[in-house]
Amino acid sequence: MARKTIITVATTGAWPKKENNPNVPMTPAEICEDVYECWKAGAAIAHLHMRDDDGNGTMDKEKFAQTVGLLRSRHPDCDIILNMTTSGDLYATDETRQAHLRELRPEMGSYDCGSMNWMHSALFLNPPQFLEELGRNMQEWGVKPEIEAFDPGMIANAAYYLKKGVLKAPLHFQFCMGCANGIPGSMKNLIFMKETMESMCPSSTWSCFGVGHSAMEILYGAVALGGHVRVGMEDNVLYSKGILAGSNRQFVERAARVIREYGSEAATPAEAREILSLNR
Amino acid sequence: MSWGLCYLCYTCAGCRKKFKYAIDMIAELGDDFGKCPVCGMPGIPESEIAIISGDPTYEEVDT
Repeated sequence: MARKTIITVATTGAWPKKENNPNVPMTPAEICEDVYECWKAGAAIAHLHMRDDDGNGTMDKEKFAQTVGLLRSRHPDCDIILNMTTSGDLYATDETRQAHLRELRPEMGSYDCGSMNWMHSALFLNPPQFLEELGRNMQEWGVKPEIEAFDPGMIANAAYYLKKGVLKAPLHFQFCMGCANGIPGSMKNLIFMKETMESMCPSSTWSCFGVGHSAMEILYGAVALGGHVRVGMEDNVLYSKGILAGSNRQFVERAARVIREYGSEAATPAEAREILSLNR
Repeated sequence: MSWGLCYLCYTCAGCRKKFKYAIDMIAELGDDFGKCPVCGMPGIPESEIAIISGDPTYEEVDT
């Protein structure tokens, strides 16, 4: 049987706006339709961020609820796994970063396993107290953490929380590569991230994406190394050099094509649930 | 949460050409990062921007 590779689509993110790419979905209705199109193209997981009415990143739980409500009512056939961000606004409080998880109980949520200087201009704060609270809450609420690691130190931090009981095995990592202030996106670094994870958190699963120039290298690398992939306009508004992406679906279609040509298959949501032990 | 690309914008200290480099190219280009694509002189850092579609002010250098 062919190996199954999970495609996560990150449709929106907290930063790109229509001025960066007019095709970035921003409203709950736009995100809903975009997610549905990506699901039809082979995405098994949708990583969701929300925007306020001015287009800025927000952790407003009502926006998440609207989006989920639209998806359920307009497209009841769509069984995509929902993975909600906990980091959609640098100025959100610990409470607003978790309120939507408590209320909506998505199958997955992001867990940024350390703090960093964000885009050389701000602090992306994930202090120990917050991570301990979030990890324990996610266990209680049945939300599987997607551990975003922007550098190897964040993998080591996840291992610490695993030993402490804040996180529960099997872990699932998202290696975020090529981000400003994070580990540069390259095959050498991807292998290092993977090996660090395997030595510190054995039996974990992993996915990855590359921002900017490393997008394709990391996509192909993930497929070749047996990982899973994330694509979408949260990470890249360009489809290729100088060409704006026409849609998130375009990214998903390309990822599915690469996976097929390698000899693997894009995992369905049901298969992704099996791979990720989403068995609540 | 992520967002690229982020660029450093320069004006050439020699020929005054305006150009930009994506910061994720620092690892690949090393000492060549920030040099003028025309005359090879180091650029004078001016600003930092995210990608703006159709912005013609600075020529992107990526090789």
